[in-house]
Amino acid sequence: MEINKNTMCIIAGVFFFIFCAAGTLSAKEVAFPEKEIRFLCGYSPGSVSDLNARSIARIASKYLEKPLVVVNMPGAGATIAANELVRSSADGYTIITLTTGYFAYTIHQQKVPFDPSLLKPLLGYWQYSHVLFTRGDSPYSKIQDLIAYGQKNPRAIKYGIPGRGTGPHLMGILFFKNANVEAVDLPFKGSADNAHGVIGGHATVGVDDFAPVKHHIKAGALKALMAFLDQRHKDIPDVPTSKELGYGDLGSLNAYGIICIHKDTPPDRAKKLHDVLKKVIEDPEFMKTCDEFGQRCGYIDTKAMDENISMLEKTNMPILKELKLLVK
Amino acid sequence: MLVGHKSIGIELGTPTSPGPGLMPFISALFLALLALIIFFTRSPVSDLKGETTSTLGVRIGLRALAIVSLIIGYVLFFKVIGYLISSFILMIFLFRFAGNRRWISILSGSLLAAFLSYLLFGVILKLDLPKGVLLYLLK
Amino acid sequence: MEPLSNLLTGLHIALQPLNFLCCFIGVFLGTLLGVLPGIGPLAGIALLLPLTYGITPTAAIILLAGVYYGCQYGGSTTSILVNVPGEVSSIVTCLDGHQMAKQGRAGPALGIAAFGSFIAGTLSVIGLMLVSVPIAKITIKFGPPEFFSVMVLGIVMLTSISRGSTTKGLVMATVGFMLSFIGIDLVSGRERLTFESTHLLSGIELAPLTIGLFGVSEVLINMEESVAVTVVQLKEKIKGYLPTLKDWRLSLGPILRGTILGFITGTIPGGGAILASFASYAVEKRLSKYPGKFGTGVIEGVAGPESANNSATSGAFIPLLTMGIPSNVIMALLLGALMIHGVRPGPLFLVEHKDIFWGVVGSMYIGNIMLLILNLPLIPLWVQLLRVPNRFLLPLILLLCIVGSYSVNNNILDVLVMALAGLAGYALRKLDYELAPLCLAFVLGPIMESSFRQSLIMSDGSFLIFVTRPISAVILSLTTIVLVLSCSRMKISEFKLDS
Repeated sequence: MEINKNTMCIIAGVFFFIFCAAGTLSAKEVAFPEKEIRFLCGYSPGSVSDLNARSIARIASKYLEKPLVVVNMPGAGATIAANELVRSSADGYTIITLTTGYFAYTIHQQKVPFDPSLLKPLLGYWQYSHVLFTRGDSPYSKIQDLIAYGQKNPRAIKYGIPGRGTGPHLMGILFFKNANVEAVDLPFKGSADNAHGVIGGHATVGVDDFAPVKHHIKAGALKALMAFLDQRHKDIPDVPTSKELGYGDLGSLNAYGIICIHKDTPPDRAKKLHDVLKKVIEDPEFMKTCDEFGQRCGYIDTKAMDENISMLEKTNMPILKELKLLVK
Repeated sequence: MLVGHKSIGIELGTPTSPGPGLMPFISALFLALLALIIFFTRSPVSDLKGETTSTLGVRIGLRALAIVSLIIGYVLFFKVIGYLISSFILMIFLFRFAGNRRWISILSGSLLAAFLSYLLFGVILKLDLPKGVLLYLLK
Repeated sequence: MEPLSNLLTGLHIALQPLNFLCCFIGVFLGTLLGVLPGIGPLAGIALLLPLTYGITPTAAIILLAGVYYGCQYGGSTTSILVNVPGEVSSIVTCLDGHQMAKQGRAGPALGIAAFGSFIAGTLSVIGLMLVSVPIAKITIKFGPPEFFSVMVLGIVMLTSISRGSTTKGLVMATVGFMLSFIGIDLVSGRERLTFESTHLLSGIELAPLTIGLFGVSEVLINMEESVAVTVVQLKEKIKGYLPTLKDWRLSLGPILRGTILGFITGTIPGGGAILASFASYAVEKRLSKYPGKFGTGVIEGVAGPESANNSATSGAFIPLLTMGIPSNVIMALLLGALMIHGVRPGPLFLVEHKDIFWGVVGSMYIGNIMLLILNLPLIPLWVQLLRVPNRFLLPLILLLCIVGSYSVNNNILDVLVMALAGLAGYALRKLDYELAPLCLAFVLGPIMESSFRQSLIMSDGSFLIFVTRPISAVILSLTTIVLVLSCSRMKISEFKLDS
């Protein structure tokens, strides 16, 4: 009797196994995604990238059968999160939000523990809009006044940045170099501290993306002297652009916020992710949220992303080398 | 052990350049100085606490080391075998260390702990706990 | 009486069903999360954020704010009961709170923590109501030199926290500093002491460090005895569940002082509840007639810090609501939440969105009352937890510590940090070194160093900047006075001992 029971168990086990295997095989044909997708974010909750990612995740529920869940893994300029993506299985269930800046300059400032070519940019969804601002009641009301002052008094201007080696820092360096002003950078810990520093007058001016300082500008605590853009930003139509003022190419140095996947993700899943995310980006509700943030949003394709990365790299590598921040 | 502190103090003084390296260097020097002070002011006076633990210290210290090694093992295998299994195994060891004798209470306690904590953290609080091998088997 | 009429409007808004419900859920969840080591307001708020999309901005902020100050209530529970801080701001509560629990006085400790938090919470909301704008204006003036001076003051106070040998305290502080240097240096952007590890690039996280140092070491130390013991050895020794009249008399001063101290500290960006609780402990110890007894179960050591960390949360709201500047990461999240709803905090906030501001203020009063009602009856329950044999309790606590450390950044390597910190904490405690100075130095160190260097950038290398700026000069003179006083105190006591 027991022997029979044992064989029964074995047979049952074999059937069970076949059933499972069949299940896994057929799972591929069943609609992807079958479970939630992890949307990694290498930046802390509340940051610009995080909020944008959460907007995407929220609206994605309209187009995706399963939820997109934001998982924050801040640290090392998003490398920790990127590492996590590369190490997880390339099944399309993990995606990550990064920036072109990450590829252009962040990875050159560290010894990255994985092969960056395993990260494949899928599409872009927003673009930084850097601005130069000063405190609301500052004596400088036009950028020309600032530049004139700076040229006469070398090293007198201290410009606040949210951290060394970041986009705003590099933008600031390029600008002041082109304007023939010797200015000193004053690094703060993050955009909030940076804004605080300028509002309080501790730094003469500051450089950062528009989104973190938008509400200060609207409230009058800060005023924007210049926008590093090619066209005027619709939220601050009175602020001149770098292009108008003669610093032509600075506007194109704004990095893109992008979504990446593992390079080895099966092409059909990659395509589905791409198409769904594209719909999300073009959804009016998403556009509206971006406007609230002061963010410029829109769909950005692979070609544009690649161009952006190579241009940023080309411009910024020599600067990084000078700053002694270059590792590789 | 006090000498150990001193050696740490000297080793970590890595000045990369006068800017960022200054503070670590100064603190390392300061630490070394303090360690020296402690060393010289303590050695004539026998540190009673040190005395009693050094005899038992070896045996007791081992247990602490064992537990910490367990946690390290947990960390290493966490991603591979998933939260539930790792926690289950960890809890078995911990309950045993803490003094439970009966296997029934150890196993049931560990199972309960692993599952309930998974419910609390993974489901209710929606923390990202890796499923690992377990999910693969279930598929 | 404009504030009063606004307050009534606010209370009216807060009492609306949706807002009331959100308040309750917020504080309830907050308390729960506060109890769990490592998991704090950040996790709760990040978790609830998606749920807030569908509701009004007022309700959303009420919910998230409730989580924040609810956590401060809950954080003291584990600190007192099992010497494991539930929140980093509750570290000091472990010092005396747990001692009280060992003496069977866990009930009064929990009680005074709850009451103190309630009083502090309520009073600080009044403060928020009345003086937000003037205080905000002062906070703006705080730049790197002022921060540096505040940190120096903090360091001086740090030395007074040490129970035993000052030298050992200094060693701990220095180690704390050195640990804080690991990572990318703010001012130069270069790596320091990272030993080529990506994980260390962003430095050591505070939460796993404290959980390990305090919590894990506690578990390790207690694991040494295989005998079935309970935290409270003798069951009969549980003396009462509520604070006695004498407790109240002793605690009133600390509570009030803690409230004011915490409120001010909370407004300083980067400071927050941790600094508040440490500062309160140091102040109480200094003002007390028996400073030597601190650390053995003195109720002032619980009343002061717990009140301080609660009023710090209200204080932390000020920069956000009046100027749109978040004073810590949690506030940054709240800022994001507000912006998702299309609300822009800033100087115009009080005018444009009066109802939201006063609604939140109103809900804070209600929230504090709710928390008191929630927490008080739970005290006997918590105390009974002490009766659970260690052999069950300790492994569970360790598991909670592990998950808590992991949850901070969803990074399992943080658990490694916790484990190593635990081992270190275990060794240090055996060698009679105190852990509190290490933590404080770890927190203050980076701010102090970067403020120092930022100030020098601002002044082009001149050290005069620290004394030529008024606020900074005031703070530094205060520090000098405190320093002189403490030295003379020591001299006097030595003199007394000699004669």
